[in-house]
Amino acid sequence: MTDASLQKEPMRYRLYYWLMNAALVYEIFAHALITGYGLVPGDLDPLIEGLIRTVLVIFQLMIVPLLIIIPWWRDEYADLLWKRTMVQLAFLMTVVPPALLAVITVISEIFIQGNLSNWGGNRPDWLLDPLLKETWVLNTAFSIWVMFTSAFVVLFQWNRWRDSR
Amino acid sequence: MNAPPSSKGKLRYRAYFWLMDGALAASAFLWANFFVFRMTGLEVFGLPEIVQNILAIFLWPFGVVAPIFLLFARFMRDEYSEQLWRRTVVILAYVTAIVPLAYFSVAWATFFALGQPDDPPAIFAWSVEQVKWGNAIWYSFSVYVQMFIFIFQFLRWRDSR
Repeated sequence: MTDASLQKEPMRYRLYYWLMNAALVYEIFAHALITGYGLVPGDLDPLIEGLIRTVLVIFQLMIVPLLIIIPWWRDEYADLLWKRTMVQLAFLMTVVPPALLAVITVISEIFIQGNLSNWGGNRPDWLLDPLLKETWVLNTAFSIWVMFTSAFVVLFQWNRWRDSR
Repeated sequence: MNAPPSSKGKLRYRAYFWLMDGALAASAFLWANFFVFRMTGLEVFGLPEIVQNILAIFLWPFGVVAPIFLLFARFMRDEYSEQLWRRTVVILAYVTAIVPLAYFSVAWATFFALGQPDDPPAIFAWSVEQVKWGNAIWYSFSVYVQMFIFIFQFLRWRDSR
């Protein structure tokens, strides 16, 4: 990713790319935390924990949404990248959920309820556990929205990286 | 809804708009049904079962399968509908980013200011209900593809005036 050609652009355009990079680092950091610890490790100093939570909130609820929403923040090239990314995202949003649910349904119908065999007592019922887990509507909506915004940042940077080669 | 001039082209270009209209009808019915059910508890407008079964045959392919197909079917879009499609995807992206965030902000601000009430008003009550993850994914996905239909048809309607 070369930013040399952008040096004479207005400040806000450079800031956009700069924050985009920061947002990618944030996504990797946040998803590593979520995968590793649920959200934040439990045995932290309250000050450090507060700091991590502040960073998470600022990026997820302010910077990443603003990077998506504000049109005059993007120069011509970023706008092009934004549009390409959103087209890809629309395809992903349309294909991934039904594909996921279809695979799970097939597994469920054939292997779990189909009673093909008893699997020697090792029937993989746990495959369905994540989908049958119950939680708040607000919680699911927020998680899905977080995935959407994360996918935007990652795809945007992926497109940019591919262009730069 | 007046057909725009470009729909006089090949059959597949016109079929794109026919499918769109079918998808709009099915999506609008599903949403109306959802809101009526939430507010009055009346299932499928209290229609007799035979009518419900006939409607289901129409609603499933047009409300869910057709939107997926229409979002992908590049070969069925002429220049005009391709342009509409691009505008729709951009608006859809803004809607997907802004609307949930706005809702979360209002909900959190209310809960933060008033404390979480035992019996919240209806607009927040559904957000603290329990839902299975599988269902949540399915609902979000349906809302997304049906929003695509609504926005596309809205832009088309505005162009045709």
